[in-house]
Amino acid sequence: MSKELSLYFHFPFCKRKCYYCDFNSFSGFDQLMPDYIHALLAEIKFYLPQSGKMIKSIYFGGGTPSYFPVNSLIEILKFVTTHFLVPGKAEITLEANPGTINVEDLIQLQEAGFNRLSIGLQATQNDLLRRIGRIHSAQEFYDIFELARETGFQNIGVDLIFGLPGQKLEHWQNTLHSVTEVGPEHISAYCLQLEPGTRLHHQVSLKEVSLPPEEEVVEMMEFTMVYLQERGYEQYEISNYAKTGYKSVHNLGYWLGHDYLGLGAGAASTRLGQRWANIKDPKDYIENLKKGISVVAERESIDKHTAMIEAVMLGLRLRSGINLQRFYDKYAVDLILKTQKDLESLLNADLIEINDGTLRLTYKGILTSNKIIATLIANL
Amino acid sequence: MIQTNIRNFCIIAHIDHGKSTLADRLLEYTGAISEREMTTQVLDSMDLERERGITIKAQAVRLEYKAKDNSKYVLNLIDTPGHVDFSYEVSRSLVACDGALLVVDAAQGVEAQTIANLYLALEHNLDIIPVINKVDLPSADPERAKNEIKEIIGLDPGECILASAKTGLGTEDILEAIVHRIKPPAGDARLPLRALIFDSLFDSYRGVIAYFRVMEGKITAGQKIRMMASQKEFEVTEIGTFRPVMTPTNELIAGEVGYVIASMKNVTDTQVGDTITSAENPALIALPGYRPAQPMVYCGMFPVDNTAYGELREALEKLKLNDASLVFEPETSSALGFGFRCGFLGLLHMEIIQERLEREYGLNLIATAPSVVYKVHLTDGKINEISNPADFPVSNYLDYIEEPYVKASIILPNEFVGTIMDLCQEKRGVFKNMEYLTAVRVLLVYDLPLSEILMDFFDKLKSRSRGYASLDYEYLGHRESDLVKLDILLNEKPVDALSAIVHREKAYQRGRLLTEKLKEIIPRQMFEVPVQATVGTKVIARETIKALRKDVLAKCYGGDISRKRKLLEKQKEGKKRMKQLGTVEVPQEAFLAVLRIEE
Repeated sequence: MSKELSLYFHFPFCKRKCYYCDFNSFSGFDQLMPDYIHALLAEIKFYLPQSGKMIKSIYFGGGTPSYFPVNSLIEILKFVTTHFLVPGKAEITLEANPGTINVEDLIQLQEAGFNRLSIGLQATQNDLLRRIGRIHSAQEFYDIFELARETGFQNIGVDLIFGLPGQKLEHWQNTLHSVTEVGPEHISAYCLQLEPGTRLHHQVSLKEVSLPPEEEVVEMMEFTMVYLQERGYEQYEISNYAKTGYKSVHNLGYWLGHDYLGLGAGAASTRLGQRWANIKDPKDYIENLKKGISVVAERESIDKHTAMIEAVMLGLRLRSGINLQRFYDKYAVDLILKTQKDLESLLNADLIEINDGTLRLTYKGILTSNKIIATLIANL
Repeated sequence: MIQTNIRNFCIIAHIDHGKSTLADRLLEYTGAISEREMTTQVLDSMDLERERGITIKAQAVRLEYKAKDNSKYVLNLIDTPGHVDFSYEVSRSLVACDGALLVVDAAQGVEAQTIANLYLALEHNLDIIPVINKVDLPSADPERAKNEIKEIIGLDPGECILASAKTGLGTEDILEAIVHRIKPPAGDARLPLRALIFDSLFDSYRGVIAYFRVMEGKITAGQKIRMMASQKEFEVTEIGTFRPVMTPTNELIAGEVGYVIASMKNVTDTQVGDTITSAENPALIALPGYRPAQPMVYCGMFPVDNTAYGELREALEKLKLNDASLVFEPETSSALGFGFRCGFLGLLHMEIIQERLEREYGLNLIATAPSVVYKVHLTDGKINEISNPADFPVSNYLDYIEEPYVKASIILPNEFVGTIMDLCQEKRGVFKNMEYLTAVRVLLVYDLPLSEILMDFFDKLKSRSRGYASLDYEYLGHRESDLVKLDILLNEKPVDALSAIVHREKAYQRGRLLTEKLKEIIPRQMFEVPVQATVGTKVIARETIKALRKDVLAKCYGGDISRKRKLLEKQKEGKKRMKQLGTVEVPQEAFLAVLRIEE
């Protein structure tokens, strides 16, 4: 069992919720923020017995962690670095919204040990940003990016979304062009998922807004894969691209099945064959921790078979694919034999490939990865 | 009972013209059943019958009526099935009667089925009492109905009784008319026993209960009887009459109607139309008109869940106990797995059986398109009867094929004649006759292939005539026809459950409709899937199900993993409900949808 561990802290507060977002995050509960920080500190104390583990990565995600006062973020990081083994090379990421951060914040964060920023930009067209409820302009992003460089952040990721309402292929091409010109180390390019319960879903169902046609979204995705590689970004996961040496250590941990602890409302953890998730409501989360009661809402055992299914599901997300021999050593299952019937037609259709003992999706296969993965795991 | 005080009668009526309600009134009036016991429509005892407002199985009830002349009469009401599928059963029920109430809806007038059954009744020399029902309705037009009875049927309009089964109006008049206008049963009680079976049912405690009318001789409890068609012998354990509950008695003589229980295990031992005689003193010849049940329509029935094959067999066997006309044998389909090829009297019979299997036995079924029985003449002179497209011979052994034709009688308002003639033409009908029954009502007679009626003829007839046309048909025989086997190929592979035998001229149209429909229903796959319709080796229609372009989950981080895995596993469950045909996943609905193709 791995001695390494990753930590995730969830900050479920936003100045305003983006219209497409179905994450566990809330706006209008700012008065809870101080208590929430206390709760996070209380929760991490439960895990002090794990403090002998090497912390490989720390990730402050949300919501909008940068919406919190910088000193409270630093307080949490300090607590972790004081009580756990955090090597100097550990990746420590903060998700930041360009509309919630300034130069003083960046200086303090950098000095406190945050060494990676993940900036949510989504698009470089202001009307598109407005249409999805973002609180910042494209210019604010450029400004923050420049400041981050100046304050010493050498590892910056930028999040983008394609398939936005009103977005044309050309918009997307411009976004990719502008962002690669700025030159972050990492780019996440997500295809918009229309999630039930979101404002955008409601708007689409009322036909107030419309999403680009599927064929155009496919073109955007195909363009992304070609263009970003040309600009020196390696696609290492379905939606993630990085310059050499800058893959997200923290996120790779999820896809490789490493253990992680998630702290905060709604955060999920996987450790020693167990998975659990916390209460989603920040208020209940805070209350329970005040009373010293568990905040775990759901718990599940990841047995070997489940772990194997997840290994296929997550392993195929990675461009590095699934090493068949290692898979066999770990699960005692010959993946080729077990999925042979479907594998053949998938290979023939050029949706999947086997090279050097590794099974992976082709670029074509990435577009329908859900279906392919579902087909393969149906055999397991 | 004195024979002269017995009257055996039935009620002839179109669906919804009030047959069952009228029967209820007669039962109530004669005190056979109290108002409180009535759950309305006592005769239609099966749930399905009540819901559909039709009688599936014939029933009988004995009424005791003290007439105005102060004599007591026994009136046996024999209920008849009200659908063309069961015309043979109807004919047997009619033979058991000496008279009939002809019920005509005062608002709707005479319908095709009423006439068809009336002609049957007249053929068997029944005394007819016309009853104009529902005269209390605001839309009632009794004068028009009387006129139709005179014009179409040729009965004296003065003989019509105006009634409302709903309010009870005319009930006594009807009872008096039964006594005075229907002849008492003939038949010598001293002759050897000959009793006509007009229905039977299976009771899990008592075995088969056969319903009969004694035509000659008498039947007694404890007697040994013989079924003249099946040649099986039984000892009578109980005979009795319906009041309306079964009430045992010692003896029933010529003219009487009753039931017999004799440790009979199977309704096939007591087929409708068979003659019961005495084993010791048998009659020389059986009553005329018996014919074994002859399925006219076949379809494959497959459990959606393949493991339910055993349950389906059990359910069919149980239904068969009560239904000698249902036939079935195991069948395998590469697309649908194990199931049964089932034969029915007609489309309604098929629907009823399917519905009972699903409702009473909780089975989830896929039925293939109904097919008629084709006679295939091979070059070596052999004749094969086939109903399954899978049995269609390869062309070099095929000489010619015959398909069943029916004589269809359609009665409709004259304004719809043009459009309905077009419809009959489209359905390969051969015009036979057109007759103005009254100034505004027309009888159209066409010879039509039965297979066309199975498709959607009736629905079309109803919709194109805004519900005013009525249809009846009788089997004419098989006729040579230019038939081909239409195959459907998914990804170049034929799907046996989607094949059909069709007329060559219809093959193109049907092939096109089927491929279009399948394109609509089958979800996009990871590969492009060609959908082809072929006749022999010739492709006559083609559609392409485009490959799925995009199905990708953008994000999958720590918090998403369990949810996402469960979603994918659910897809795996959904996959189990899909039929995997080669590399193509086909949802169950696809097999159902092809049945509902509108031409």
